[in-house]
Amino acid sequence: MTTTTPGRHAADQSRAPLPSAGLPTGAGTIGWLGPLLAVLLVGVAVVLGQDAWVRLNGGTTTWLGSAVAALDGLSPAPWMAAVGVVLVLVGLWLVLKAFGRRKRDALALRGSSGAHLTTGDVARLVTGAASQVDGVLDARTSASRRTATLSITTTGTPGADSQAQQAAERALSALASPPRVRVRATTTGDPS
Amino acid sequence: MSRRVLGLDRFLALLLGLVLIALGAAVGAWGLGQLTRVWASAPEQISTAGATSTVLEASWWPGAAAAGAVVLGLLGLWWLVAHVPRRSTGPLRLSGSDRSGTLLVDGSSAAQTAAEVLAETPGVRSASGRVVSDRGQLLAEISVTAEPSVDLAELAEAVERTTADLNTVLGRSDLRGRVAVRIARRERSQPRVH
Repeated sequence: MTTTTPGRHAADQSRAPLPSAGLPTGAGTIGWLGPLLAVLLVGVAVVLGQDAWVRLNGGTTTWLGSAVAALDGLSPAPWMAAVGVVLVLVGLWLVLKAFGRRKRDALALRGSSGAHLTTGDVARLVTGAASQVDGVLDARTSASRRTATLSITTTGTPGADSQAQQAAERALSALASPPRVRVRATTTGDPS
Repeated sequence: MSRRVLGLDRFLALLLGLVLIALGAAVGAWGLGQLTRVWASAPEQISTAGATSTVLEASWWPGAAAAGAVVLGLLGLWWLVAHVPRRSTGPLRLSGSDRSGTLLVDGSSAAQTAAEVLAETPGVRSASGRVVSDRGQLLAEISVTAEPSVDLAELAEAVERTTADLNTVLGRSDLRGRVAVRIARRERSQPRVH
C-alpha cells in the first residue's frame, strides 16, 4: 500500500474542473427537533424501566404509578382549556416544522467550482466594501438570497450613498446571481 | 445526516403533532364540559383506580414494562446515534491500480494541500480542506476564510484553478467539490507590500 501526498503544483494535464456537489442546504428546525424527539423517546423508556425495576424489586411507588394516581378523581375545570390550547399550539408547531422547508442560505460564486457564500458572509462583504467608501462612517448590512440591504451613516458627503452602492455591487459581482443592493443612508446628526 | 433519518424525523414530528392537537382539543373540550357534544358517554370524572389494579399491579406488568423500556430505549438511542454524521473516508484508490499493485492517495491530504495553495490568494486569511463522504457522495470540502475586502472574482478564479488541480491529482470521476467561502467579521490589519 502506498499513500502519497501530492506536491504543491499538480500535474498540468487535462485540468478538467472539479464538478460541483451543489449548494449545501441546512436542515432547519427539524435538524435539532429530530434528536430532541429521540431523547424524549429515551425518556419514555427510562420511565417504563424505573417502573419495572421498582416493581420487580418489591416496591410499589413508581413515577408512572404516581402520575396515574394524580390523575385519579380529576373533574372538568376551566384551566384545562388553557392546557388544551397550549397542547394544540405545540402540536400545530410540530406539524408545521414537519413540513418545513430546508434552510437555503447559500449563494454560488460564478464558475463551476461549487464555491459558495452564505447570506451572512454576503452581508459582511457588502459592509466591508461600503466601509471603504469616503464619507461612510458606519455600515451595517442584512442580506437574503435576493436582496442585500445596506444601512450606512455618512458624514453628509454628496454621492456617498451611490458610491457605497456601487462599491457593494462591485464586491458582489462575482456571484452567479448577485442579490440586489438597497441602500438606506442617514447623515450624522440626522434625527431619523 | 442521511435523508432517511431526516424523513423519519419529519414523520414522527408530524405524528406527535397530530396526537398533541387531538389530545389538546379533547382536554380543552372536556375542561369546558363540551366533550359530551361529540362523545356522549364522556366521563364526568377521571378514574384511574381500575387501570391501576388491572394493569400496573398485574403480575405481567413489570416484565412487559421492562421489555418495553429495553425496546424503546434501544430504538431511541439508535435514532439519536443515527443523527451523528459518519463522513470520514479511507485512502482513495487511484486509477492505474491493477493486480500488480494498488495506488492509494490520502484524499484529505490532497484537499488540505489544495487549501494551502488557495490560502496564498490575496485577501484569503486561511483555508482548510478534507475529503469526506456526504450522503453517498465523495466530496472534497474546502473551507476558505477571506477578509471583507477580498476580490471575489479573483478568489473565484483561484478556486476554479486549484480545484481543477485537485481533480487532476485525485483523478476520480466520482469526486465532487464544495468550497465554502467565509468572510471574516473584521479586516485583519496586516503589513501590505505595494
